[in-house]
Amino acid sequence: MPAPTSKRIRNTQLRRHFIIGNESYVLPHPLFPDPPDGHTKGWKVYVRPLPNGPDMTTWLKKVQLKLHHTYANASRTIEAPGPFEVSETGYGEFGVEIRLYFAPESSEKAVYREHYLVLAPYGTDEQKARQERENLVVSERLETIEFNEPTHDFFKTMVSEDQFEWLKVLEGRGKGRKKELVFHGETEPTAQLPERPIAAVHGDSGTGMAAGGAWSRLYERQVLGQLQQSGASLDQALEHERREMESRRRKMEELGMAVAAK
Amino acid sequence: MAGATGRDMRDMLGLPTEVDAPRPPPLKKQKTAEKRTAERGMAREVSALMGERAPPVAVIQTKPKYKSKSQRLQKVGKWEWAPFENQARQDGLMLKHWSKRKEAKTRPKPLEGTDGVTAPTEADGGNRTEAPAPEAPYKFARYNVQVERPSYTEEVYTNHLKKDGWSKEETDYLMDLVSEYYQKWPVVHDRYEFKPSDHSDQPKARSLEDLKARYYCVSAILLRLATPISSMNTAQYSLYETLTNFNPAEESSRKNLAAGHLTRTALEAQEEELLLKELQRIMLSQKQMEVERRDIRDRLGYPPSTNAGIAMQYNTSAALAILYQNLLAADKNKRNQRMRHTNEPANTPASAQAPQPASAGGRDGSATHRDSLSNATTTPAGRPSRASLPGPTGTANDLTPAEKARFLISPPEKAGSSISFGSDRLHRLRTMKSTTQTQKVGAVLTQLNIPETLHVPSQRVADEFEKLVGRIGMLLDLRKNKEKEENEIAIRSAEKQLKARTAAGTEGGERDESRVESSAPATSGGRRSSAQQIKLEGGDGGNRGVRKRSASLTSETSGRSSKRPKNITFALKLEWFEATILTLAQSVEDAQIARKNLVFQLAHNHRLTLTFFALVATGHQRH
Repeated sequence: MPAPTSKRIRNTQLRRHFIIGNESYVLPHPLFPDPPDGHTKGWKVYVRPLPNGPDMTTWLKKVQLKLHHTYANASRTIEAPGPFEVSETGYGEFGVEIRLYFAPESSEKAVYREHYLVLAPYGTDEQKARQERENLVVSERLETIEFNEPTHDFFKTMVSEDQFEWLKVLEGRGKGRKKELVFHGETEPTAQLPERPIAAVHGDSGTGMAAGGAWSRLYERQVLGQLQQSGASLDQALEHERREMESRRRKMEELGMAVAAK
Repeated sequence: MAGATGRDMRDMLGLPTEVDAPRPPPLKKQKTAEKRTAERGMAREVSALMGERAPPVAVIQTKPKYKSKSQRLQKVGKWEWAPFENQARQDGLMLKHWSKRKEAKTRPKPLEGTDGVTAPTEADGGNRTEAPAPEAPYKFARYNVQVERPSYTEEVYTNHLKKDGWSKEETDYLMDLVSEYYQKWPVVHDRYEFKPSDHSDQPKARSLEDLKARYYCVSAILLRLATPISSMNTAQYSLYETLTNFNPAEESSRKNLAAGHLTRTALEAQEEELLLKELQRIMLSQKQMEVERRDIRDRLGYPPSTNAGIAMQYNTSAALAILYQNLLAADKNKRNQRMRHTNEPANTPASAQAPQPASAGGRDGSATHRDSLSNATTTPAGRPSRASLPGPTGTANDLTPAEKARFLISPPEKAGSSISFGSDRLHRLRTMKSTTQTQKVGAVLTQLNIPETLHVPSQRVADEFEKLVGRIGMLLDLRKNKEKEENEIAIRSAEKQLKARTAAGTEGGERDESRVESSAPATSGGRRSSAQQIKLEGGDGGNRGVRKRSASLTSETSGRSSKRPKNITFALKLEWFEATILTLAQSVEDAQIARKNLVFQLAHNHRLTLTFFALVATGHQRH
């Protein structure tokens, strides 16, 4: 008989960032050795953690990616720890349904997320040119998952230091001493977004961007900046409207008086 | 007749007697017949009537059982016819009655035998009868309760008891009656037939209350005279009070009310009940109203600054300490938010230290331990050491803000929902209750160059976005308002125009002429431009003679909205009718007829007809 679920901690929310995305290459490409006929693009859809973030497997145990039904074995399941990715070749874009299974301590049900597989270059001309040049199209999205009122057990796993183990390198401190896990690298491991975009740590693919390094506080600030700018123009429009309203009011009063007087 | 047996019948009919076979039946019959006759209390004939069988319920009279004569345990007592005296009587009437003579055995002997009466014996019966009866008081004498009759002398009367409308005679008469009838007021009132000795006055009709009032008044005064108020004891004083506080009017009204109650019909009773319920409802709702009004008044006003009740809680030192902790916890939460912004590695040990002294009491020991450890073992990378792990209890509250920031822990927005996504929140912010609203918001967002999906759904971004959407909502509201206001303005200006025209006859006509003529070529172009013109004219109020599609307030509405507003404004209607007239007025006769037709068609709309008449008038003037 499994142990009953531990009590939930109130007024708490655990948040984790992770990346859902896909890369796509024009074939032929070294990564995809023997594509079937008709497939023009090779792609890889994945669910990744932040490069300097805690290990995803603490809360994510299994990912099921549902590809288009025309694919053999359309439902691909990947369990922890493996990189949660699926590489395939194809020619059409479709929506990939991603089902996230959580760690049993959390006693949460699986959730679905949808990701649209982008194969063709997109964006501004400059972006498109770059994508073509590098022969890499990346479409990524940062997603935050929020665990409201987590169970005690889950909470413990989520706040343990072990989460950052995966980033550490086994290294000896000296003669006669036990090897220890030491972190190398510039950015301090934390669940927050890193300050700056970081280069790929494990070197999955060449560019830092695809490895999720693009997601940084910097980018966030950019987005914020954009929003604020829009906000500013909105404020302007509001002001304009308000002034108009004022003048209209005055006019109405005027007219009202005139009509009444006559 | 007795049961006609077979033998008898045969005998009668002269048949031969049967000897062999029918023998047994006669025997039976005989037996039953015999049995019958054995029953007592019933005639033989009657039983024969009933038949051979006994009835199911045998009606047999049994001899009644009489009770045995009761035994008398005692001997019969002796009663004697003796005279007795009634102490209640004043006239000394001696009556006689039967009284039981007591058996004298147990009678105690007098010790000394003062009057020489020896132990009574049976032989002495004759003498003894006299003794008990006159000695024992008459049993019923004690029921002769007399009312205390207030008595006064002539002097006392003239000094204190005088009252208008009451002569001494009458007062005395009243006193007599009351004491005679034992203060039974209904009787007194009924028997009150005062005939004044001086026959000039007619006997007044005194009501019960009047009599009572007079009587109480007299009693009270006499009481007062007897014992002055200060020296009255409680009982006396209460009596005095009751006497003086007698209010005849009140009493009579009360009695009337009671009588009314007695004689009311069921219908009236129902009505009364309903009214009472109504009243109760009103009273209740009044209370509610008061409460609500007070609420609103409080809310309108500034919030009360120092409520004694609230402040009083924190008088004790313990309460203050708790308050301090609460405030700190709240502050810590706020600081969490701030901490995230500056989550530099260098800060973590510092920040790990900073909240330590402020932590809750239970954590103090572990906190200081942590403090020292973190100081001692900071790695070159500035990583928080192993010692800064949460304590053994491991709840959320045990983590420092730094740790919380590291692991992204914060109070949840919505309680109870287990998993949510950041991008969901963004999406939710974007959608409104109605699809049209959502579309409008979306339109504004695209105008502002914000993409459909924001790639970084972090909390900061979400908050910022929320603010943005809020402002967009405001903008949309303002725009909607603007439409309405502009319509209103157009209407008012058209009204003004109309009034101006009717007021200044020919002037208005001329103005109209120019306007109508100028609008004539415009109508061929389209309705909108003439509408424009009229609006402009109306809007200007005649100030600007220039008819130019200037950047006036009104222009924006027509230019911006691609679709025509559903509620056609009055001005537009005006213009439309004019246009129709003019198009129809290619031929004069047709125009006239057309105008008349249109007038009749629009007769239901008062305003329009007014303007229409105006137009018609000008039309006539023109042609």
